[in-house]
Amino acid sequence: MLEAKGISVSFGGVSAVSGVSLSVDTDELVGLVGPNGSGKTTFLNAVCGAVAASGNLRIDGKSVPLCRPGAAWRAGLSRMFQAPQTFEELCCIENVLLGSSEMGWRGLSGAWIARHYMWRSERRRWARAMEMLELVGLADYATEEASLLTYGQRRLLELARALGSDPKVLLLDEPSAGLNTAETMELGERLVEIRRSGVAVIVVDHKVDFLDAICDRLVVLQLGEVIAEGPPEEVWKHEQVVSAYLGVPGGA
Amino acid sequence: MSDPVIVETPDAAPAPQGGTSWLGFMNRARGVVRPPIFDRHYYLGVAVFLVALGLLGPVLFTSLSAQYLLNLWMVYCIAGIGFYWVFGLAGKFAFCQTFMMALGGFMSAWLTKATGYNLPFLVGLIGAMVITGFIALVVGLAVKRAQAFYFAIATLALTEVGTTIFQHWTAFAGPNGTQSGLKPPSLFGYTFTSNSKVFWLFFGVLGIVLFAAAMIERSPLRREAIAARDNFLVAQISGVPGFGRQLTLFVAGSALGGLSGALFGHWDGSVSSSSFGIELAIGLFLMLLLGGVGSMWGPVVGAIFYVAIPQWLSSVQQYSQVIYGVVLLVVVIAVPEGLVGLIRKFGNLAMVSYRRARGRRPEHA
Repeated sequence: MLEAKGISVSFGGVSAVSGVSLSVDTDELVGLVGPNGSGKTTFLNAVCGAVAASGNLRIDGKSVPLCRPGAAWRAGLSRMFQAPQTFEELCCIENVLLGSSEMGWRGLSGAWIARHYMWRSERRRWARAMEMLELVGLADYATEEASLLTYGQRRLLELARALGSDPKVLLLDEPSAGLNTAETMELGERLVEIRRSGVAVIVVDHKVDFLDAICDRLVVLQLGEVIAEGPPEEVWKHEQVVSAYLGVPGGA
Repeated sequence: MSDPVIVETPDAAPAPQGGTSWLGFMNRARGVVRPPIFDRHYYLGVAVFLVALGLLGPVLFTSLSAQYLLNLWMVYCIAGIGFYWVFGLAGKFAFCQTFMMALGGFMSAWLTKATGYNLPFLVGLIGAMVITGFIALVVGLAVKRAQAFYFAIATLALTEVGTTIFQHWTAFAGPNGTQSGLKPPSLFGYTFTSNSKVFWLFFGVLGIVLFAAAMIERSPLRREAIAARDNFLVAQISGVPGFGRQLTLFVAGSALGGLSGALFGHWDGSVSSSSFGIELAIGLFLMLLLGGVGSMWGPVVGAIFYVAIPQWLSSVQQYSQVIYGVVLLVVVIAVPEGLVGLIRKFGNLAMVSYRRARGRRPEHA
């Protein structure tokens, strides 16, 4: 579903991600781990077009240009950010509506001329957005300003927005940050459900137990390069991974 | 792999009850938003406003100078609503709205002058909107990558270059950037010769513009423009064609500027590039900030003050710039949401307490 080949990002002379290749199938949940600064988030940014990157990206078999925010979204990729990125001035349901996959009549022609058609697609959008809010448990807040939500609720709102576009690939950047154990487990449940519905999911996270419980495969990054890949139990035995996380015994 | 532990949690978190303290009450009031798209009050508001204006305008503003001010206010309202789309919704610091007004005036003069093409007034208006919209499209595409501050500089440069061109291009803008002898507005054989007649023309145009603005408020365009304004990159990544939305609003808003300039020119009989200088550009910002950037009614309310303040302060005319500056400062510090924002806040407060008194939560759309 998602095929990234040789993704490289450099800031000035510093190479943040160098030649990372990663492919994720439909119905697969892949965890992306690595120490701080290993380029996990930068890799996600490169894939969704937020930073200048080089390499090759294919989503659902179609080639997607890099460095163009929005191109990956059109190809069916949704993204959740590390710090929740919601629009405070809009109410919750409007936040979800932004990412709606129902494209029709959202511009000036819909506002002024084709209002009938605009309403028709708008109703479909609202119904879908409401479903998404119910899915994440924020339906009661639909018409309240997003700025009133707590940190955790904003994350859920962002998840609803990401899901509202019926993504084929979903990227999650530390979804468990700021959640307590029970909430983390609930999130894991949701992610497994999402994966079962035929979405390729990439999760960046630091909570090893959480990832072990839900991921089919782990990819370990260090200094912008893939050092290990495989099922969780194998990956954690990998020598390089152990040294990357814990340091080499007797080393500097 | 093992399935994660299932934890029982309620389907939806309980609704916030809005604390018992007064402060909590305020917060609650702020949070209750009816998504404008399902809010029919926009049309009702426009209708009430127009009826009131139509009934009271001719009655209260009887003297020649009062009629002049009323018409001037309506011209500024039209330009201001266009500027609201550009600055308020799209969030673009455009300093070229006055240039668009001047260009609209000159374009309409060029098309309709008896010594030139001698086309009807309506063609002049349409020509003014088309040319200003087109120039805005070209400029918007040319400075595609310019962010907030750079966009402001680019549009300021456009205004300066435009003014210089108007000063020297006699064939288009008349001698020294002043085109006079525009024919009075006339529609379908009826000529609006006096201020009181022109009022009704402007009334009609303002009505159309207000309904057009209400339609934008009640459309997906509004939320997408706001999203692109507040966080362009995130909006783009989440599927909002941010650049397209901002360009659309810039073009539409500039066309309204052109329309208002053309209306002014035909009413006044002359267009001068010096009357659309930087003072008016700052004045437009003032109107929007004073009235409220967050609402289509902002420029309508703000323009009242922009037209009226010089009258109230005619004895201290030489300090007018200082007074504008002070007013702007006070507004930015004391009422950042503008007067309309202030009114809305109290309206929300009242609505919440009313609903609470009836024991209901605000309904969902």
